Amino acid sequence: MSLSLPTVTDVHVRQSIGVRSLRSRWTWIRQEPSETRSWICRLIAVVLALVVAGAYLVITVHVPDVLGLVLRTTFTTAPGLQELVVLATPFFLTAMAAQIPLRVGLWNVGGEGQFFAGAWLATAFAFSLPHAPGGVLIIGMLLAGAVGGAIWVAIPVLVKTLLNVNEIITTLMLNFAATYWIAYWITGSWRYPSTQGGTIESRFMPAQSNLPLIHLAGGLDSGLIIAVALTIAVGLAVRYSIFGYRTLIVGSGRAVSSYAGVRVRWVIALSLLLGGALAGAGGVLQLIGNSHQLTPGLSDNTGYLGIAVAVLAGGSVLGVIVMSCLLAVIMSVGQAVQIYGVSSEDVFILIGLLLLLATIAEVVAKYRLVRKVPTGGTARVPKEPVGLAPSVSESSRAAVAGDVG
Amino acid sequence: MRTIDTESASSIRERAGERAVKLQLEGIEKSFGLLAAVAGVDLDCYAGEVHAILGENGAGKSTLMKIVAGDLQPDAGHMWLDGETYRPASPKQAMRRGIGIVHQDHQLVSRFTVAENLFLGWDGADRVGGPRSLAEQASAIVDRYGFELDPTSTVRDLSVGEQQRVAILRALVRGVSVLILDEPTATLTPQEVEVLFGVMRNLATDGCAVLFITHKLCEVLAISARVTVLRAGVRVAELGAHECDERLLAREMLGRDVESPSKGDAPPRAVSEPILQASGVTVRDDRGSLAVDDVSFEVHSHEIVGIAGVAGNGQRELSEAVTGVRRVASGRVLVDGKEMTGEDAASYVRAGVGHIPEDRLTAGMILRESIANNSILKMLHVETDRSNLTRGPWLRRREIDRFARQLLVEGQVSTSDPKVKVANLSGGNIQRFLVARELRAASRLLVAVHPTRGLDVGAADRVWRILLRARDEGIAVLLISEDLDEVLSLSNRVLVLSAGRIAGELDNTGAPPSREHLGMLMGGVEQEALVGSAAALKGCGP
Amino acid sequence: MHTFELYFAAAILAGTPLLLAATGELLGETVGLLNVGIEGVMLIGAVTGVVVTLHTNNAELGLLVGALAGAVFLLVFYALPVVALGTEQILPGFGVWFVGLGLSQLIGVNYENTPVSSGSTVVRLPGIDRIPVVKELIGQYPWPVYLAFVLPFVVAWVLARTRHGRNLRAIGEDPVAASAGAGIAVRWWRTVYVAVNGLLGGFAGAVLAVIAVGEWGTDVTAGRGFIALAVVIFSGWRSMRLIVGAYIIGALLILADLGGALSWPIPSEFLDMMPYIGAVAILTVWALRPGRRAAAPGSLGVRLKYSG
Repeated sequence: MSLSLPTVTDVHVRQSIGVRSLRSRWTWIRQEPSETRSWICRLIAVVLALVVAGAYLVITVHVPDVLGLVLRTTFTTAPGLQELVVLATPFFLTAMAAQIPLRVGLWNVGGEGQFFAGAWLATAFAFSLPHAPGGVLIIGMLLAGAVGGAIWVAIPVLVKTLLNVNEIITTLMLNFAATYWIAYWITGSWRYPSTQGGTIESRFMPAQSNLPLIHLAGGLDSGLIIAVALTIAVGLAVRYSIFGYRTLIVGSGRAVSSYAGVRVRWVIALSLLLGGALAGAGGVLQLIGNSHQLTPGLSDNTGYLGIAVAVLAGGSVLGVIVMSCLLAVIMSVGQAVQIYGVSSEDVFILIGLLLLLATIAEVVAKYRLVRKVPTGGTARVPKEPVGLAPSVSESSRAAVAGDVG
Repeated sequence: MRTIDTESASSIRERAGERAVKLQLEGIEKSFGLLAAVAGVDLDCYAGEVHAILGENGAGKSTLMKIVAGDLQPDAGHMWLDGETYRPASPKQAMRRGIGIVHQDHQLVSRFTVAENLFLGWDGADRVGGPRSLAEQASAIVDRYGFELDPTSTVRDLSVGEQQRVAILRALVRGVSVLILDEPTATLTPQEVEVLFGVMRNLATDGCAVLFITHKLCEVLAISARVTVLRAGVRVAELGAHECDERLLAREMLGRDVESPSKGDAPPRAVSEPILQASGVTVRDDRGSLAVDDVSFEVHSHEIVGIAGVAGNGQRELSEAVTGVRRVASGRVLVDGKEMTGEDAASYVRAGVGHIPEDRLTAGMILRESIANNSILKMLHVETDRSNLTRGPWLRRREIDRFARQLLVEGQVSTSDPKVKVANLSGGNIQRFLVARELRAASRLLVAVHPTRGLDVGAADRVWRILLRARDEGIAVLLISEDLDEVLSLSNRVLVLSAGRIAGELDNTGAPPSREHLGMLMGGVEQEALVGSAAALKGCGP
Repeated sequence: MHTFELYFAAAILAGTPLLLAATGELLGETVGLLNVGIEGVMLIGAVTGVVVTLHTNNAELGLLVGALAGAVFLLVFYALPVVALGTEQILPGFGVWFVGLGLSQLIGVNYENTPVSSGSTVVRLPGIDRIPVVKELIGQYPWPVYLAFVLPFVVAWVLARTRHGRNLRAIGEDPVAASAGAGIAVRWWRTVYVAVNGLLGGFAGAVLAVIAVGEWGTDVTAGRGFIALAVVIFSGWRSMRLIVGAYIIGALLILADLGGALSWPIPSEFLDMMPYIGAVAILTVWALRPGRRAAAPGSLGVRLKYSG
């Protein structure tokens, strides 16, 4: 029979640990974050990633004046601004192409392929009606592009809705298929006859399809205006429509959807098709606004970077616009530092870091450090508080180590 | 910071003179965020006796036991096991020290066999061996402890009682000297409870300290030698079972006298029309096996029909089938005489069916969304609401906010801001908001599944009153609950669901049916077989 | 040597990196972690493998360092957020992919299209290397090919018949039950198997660049990491079926070469598409099988909340 009593020294030892008394005064509470709060956390993540990138440029690559370089290449000169606009334009639509399916909880990683598919069908349209008036051609090409993008996502939609096949893999695989599909056409019947050397391009689009430049601030691409208008229109439509509300339900899980009587398959199909169509239209804008030829480099990874924009933007349209511009700045700085031996694809390191930090920020946003009410060490909170974590029974249930959420 | 009270220390010493303190807790504190789940609890647990921990939902019982089992780390406090300091950093360390826990949901890997679960994470079995050798080793153990279990069967195919035995056996084979049972009786039939109590008594006789967590007063008196009562994370009493009765325990547990819900004064109308008619309904579960087998019943206006039974006997599937969430495999469902078989949830909403689902936090609500967005989860299916809340394909946000505010008032939710995210409401508030929303939809029928699960007594009482008021207003209510007291105190008729079939139907307007009778039905004995047989089992009366 | 034997061997060699990467991913998914970023891990493994081989003239060392680089890379960029901080799983996977894509560029910029002179040791299976046709079909490959072939059998045995394998499956099925119920160190083992996933992914990339392709080139993996994901799903989480899936895609990967050699009347672009179409096809075929839902680990891709 052995019984050791808690001795007084035991207690003193515990008291003397300073960390513990600190822990007893402050505590973390877990809370569903507000929009503002998650935005702030995401912006901190962005700034962190940019600081890391800047430090890399200064320390390893010896770029002397990074901030000055950024300002010089982008904001302060008219050509810089114009370049920025050209770079940002394609991101709007490929970001929307990822963002709308994300509302439903689906990853459309096929923006790149849909972008090309749209450009391809628009090219086919333009080459079959080379003498149509400019307006008809532009509108027709945009529509053809939307259809092309939607067609390219149709197979993933079909196998997702009918057989629940993972859309990440199917949409991504079709990107590679699109690359070869384009290669087939531009090395074949569409090939630009006098191409010299290794680069292969299609013939030029009919001249009347070229988007006009609007002379504002040293020449503003009208493609940008179309892209921004489309983005805002679609974004608002999704936010304020019944369809948009249903995407939200479906994105919250199968249980809620069947409880609420939502036809999950339709919502999934529509959101992916809408995403594909937007990416396809993005391809057309790049085609008629910038390159005027179908080339393998038409996209320059826009489809992939659009995913990053969508993630960083959260659910908002404003986010898409802001983050597209940010990404354009990053890309243009990336181009500017190429003279220091940095390759343009290095920018993916930064994008990857951004994604990782944004993921972590999303978790961090849920926690707040608060001061405990000093009543005997632990606070008793009024029963059923609003704006606080669920009642004890739920929070303790949710807080089981390793609880599946 | 707490210091040692010399008086209590001497009293411990005094008791120690009589018997060995097996497990001793002192000043255990644990908070989640600002909420102190356990706020300084002391506990002495002796070898060879059953020690009950009593408290209502949210009193901190489970949190305290998870700390003992190494699942959670305390913020403050000290524990001793056999007189030595005990501070487990993980469940594994707790198991090594001889502390076993049987969780409320058993924490078995449901797709594994009994044998695989027994040996999981334990070095008692050979390092290498196929399913057959594992089953052989397992059946040796099962035989040694005299449990009736087939080691080769898959856990999810077992009844709840059998699963619990697997969990207990898993703790026993690892050589426990302290066994914690977290609400073990919640999902058992009264007969299975008796079997469990037998096991617990045997364990105590063998010198094991058994910690028994419950919120049922009668069980405390039936089995335990000592009771610790927790209220709001604080130990409010420690009593010998011989020195207390139910009334005393209830007052300690709730901090006031109990006021059990009653069916109310308004008697059900004699003549009422059938609202829900189910005939020959057969439903399959997610895995495709038969969950509800040829069930027929009616629910009339002005009545509450209760469905009693142990969880997992088809309640979930049945409730989903009569709300359109799940398709029926065969049979017919009529609402208001209208054929509803094969319709989806949207059609049921249109027919005036409200549904308080079992998983209210995952199915009934979108937690990360605002109250406003949750308020219209089903309302867009109802023509009148739809024309009010939408215009063409567009939502009218201002109208939706107004609608949400109405629901908040009706549900007496403690906020009036429809922009608050549901996740940031308390459990009771979420449930009242959901009930208010579903009452909106339920112009004819309300299907309420475990409507008070996880709520404390005050919050549960408010939900009960709402259900009774709905009944008085003429709505047909189908109440599905595993809490027998809840079913008996609210329903006019009681159906017992067992293994997907209706084992019996009992009238509950006059004197309540006997628990033994109900228990036999829940255990799968058909009603006919019971007629005339005197059920001799001892249970607790309501 | 005849065309058939030549292309059979080429298909096996092309399928080997897929098989290795898929085996690693399968182990990761067994403990419940879906990593969509194997592509990035393979790129890191490929570039470090080539760089080390070029500098040391030792392919074996290159493969080893490539594998280790993959493990370290995945631990930092995937285990840290997902296992340690409890984030969701898809986004860190994309992060791994993107960072791998960029970082491999950065490391490999001066090594692009420099052929690796010393290949890995070719192992001639004793006995078989004297039988005429069989010798060319299965008798003489670099050692990683044999390793890749044997590994799924070992994995299957460990998962099905050992205590450790059972614990791993339990972690993937139900991490809460495994931890609270059975006392398994869930976080620890998840971390370990993220490392194993990275090790095999990096090794796969190194094998691809050092042995199969013989040089580093931008985006040398060309989607193979994602194809490996498809192969895992196709296998229904049974490691031995990985072999079938990986070699089917391996055969499709060399189709363009084969078509060129035999001058098929099909445009080579269409043949180049085949592995990607094939990946979609094998996923669809898998989805058509009855009882497929039961195959995936119960907690795959599910985010865990840690606290306490």
